[in-house]
Amino acid sequence: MASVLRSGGPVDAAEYSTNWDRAQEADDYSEPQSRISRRVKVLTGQLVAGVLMLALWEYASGRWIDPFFVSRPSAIGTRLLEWVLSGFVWFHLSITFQQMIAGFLVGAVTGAAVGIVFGRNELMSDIFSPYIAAVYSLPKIALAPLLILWFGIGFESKVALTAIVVFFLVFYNTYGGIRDVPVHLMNGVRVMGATERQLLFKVLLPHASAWIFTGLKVSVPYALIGSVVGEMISANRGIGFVLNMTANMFDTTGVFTALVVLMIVAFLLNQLVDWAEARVLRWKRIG
Amino acid sequence: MTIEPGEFVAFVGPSGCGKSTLLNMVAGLLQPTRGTVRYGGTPVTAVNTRVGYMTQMDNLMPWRTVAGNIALPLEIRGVPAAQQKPRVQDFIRLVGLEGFEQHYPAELSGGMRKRVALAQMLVYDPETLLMDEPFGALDAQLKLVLHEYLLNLWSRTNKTILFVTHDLAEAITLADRVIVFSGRPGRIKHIQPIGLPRPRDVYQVRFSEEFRRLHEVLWDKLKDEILKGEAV
Repeated sequence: MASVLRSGGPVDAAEYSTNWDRAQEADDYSEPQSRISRRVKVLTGQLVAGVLMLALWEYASGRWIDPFFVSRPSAIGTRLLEWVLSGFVWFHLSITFQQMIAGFLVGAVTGAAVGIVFGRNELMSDIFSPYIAAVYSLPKIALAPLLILWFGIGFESKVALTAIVVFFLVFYNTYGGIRDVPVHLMNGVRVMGATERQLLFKVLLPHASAWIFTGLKVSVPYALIGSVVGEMISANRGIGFVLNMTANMFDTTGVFTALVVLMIVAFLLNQLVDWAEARVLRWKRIG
Repeated sequence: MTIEPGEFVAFVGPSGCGKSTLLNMVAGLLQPTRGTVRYGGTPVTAVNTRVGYMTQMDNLMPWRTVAGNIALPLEIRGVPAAQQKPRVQDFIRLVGLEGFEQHYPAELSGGMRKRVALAQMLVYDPETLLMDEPFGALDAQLKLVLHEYLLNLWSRTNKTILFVTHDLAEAITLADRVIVFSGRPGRIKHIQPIGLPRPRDVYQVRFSEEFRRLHEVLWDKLKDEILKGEAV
């Protein structure tokens, strides 16, 4: 019997389709020359464009535009080096990071938990959804003064702001993911004898994982925003504070340096998220 | 009506007549609004875990590999991990999917997914199989292959099978009895015993005189219902 099943035409088709990646690779190898040269072209182009922009900036500053407003790349580079060597940047970055991570964790865990409860309880979600939508539509940054009033100008108020921002993003995605689980998948495992707990861990959460992950992914830059904006409004440490302080002292070079630091951090965070997503959701990529 | 243990019963009828609802009630996923469904003599009031259920939408978890999907019912039933592995391997061999253990459902063809779903249903050895148009989406040739496979399995294991289909030839090929449902409201209109000798050759049986006669009888009963359904 087994041999009969294996000899069917569609099976071969499937084997072919699973080899698709390899076929693709083979395609790539057929023209290695043009692929590599294209890559070199792009990289060179990127480098040239970057150098040109910086050179233009450097040249314009002091000639066409007052450096008081735009500083200059060389000054920013020097300042960045100073900050790195003195440990100044590490101190403030670590504050911002701690707030961001704590807020992210609190927001993500509560958002996922409430999302699961509401996703499983239609009555409850129907009752509370207008209120959640109302709070959600509020620009969360507008809550910062209130949070500072409640939690002070220190660590806690930034954690709270970040957590609220992350909460809604993760909540809505988790809720959507749980509601999206096909009934036939749930019924299937129920007949297999699954308890509610098994249903949650073996069907609902894995199915919702792609959604939850999307929520977490979009939350990362927002968590950084929440933390930095909180610091800008009221704080005595953190990158947001540095940004505000340098601006208040009309130190444009300091402002630009802080922005460069933020840009590097945000870019690295996004790379990290992309990398994690590719690892976690392997099954999603296929198909 | 009563279905005997070990019997293979097929249900045909116009769409919306409640064939799938009936299986859902046997599985305990739905409660009848009137009357009772008894399983083994006792009314079904909760999810019936003595059955296996296979629908047109195979219940495979896209995030689990072939082996992981077949192991799922064993995990749910608390079979120790050490015992799961050889059993899963047995059933992978049974459905001829050696070498595909670590593939995800999205990497398989429709027919292979059906075989995984079949293995997933059989691995925990339920006494009754509920099959709701399980091969509906497959092409005709592949359907025959799976019919042969299913009959083979049924004759060896003595399981009871309730099989919903809209394909009369499929019903006659497989079943001991074919139940014809009428359109809304769904009622049993006709019960047709299928006297074709067993074991049946799924490739040849459809050319026999008796098959043709049964097809005509059943089509005659079903025709009115389908036309009625279309007119509404």
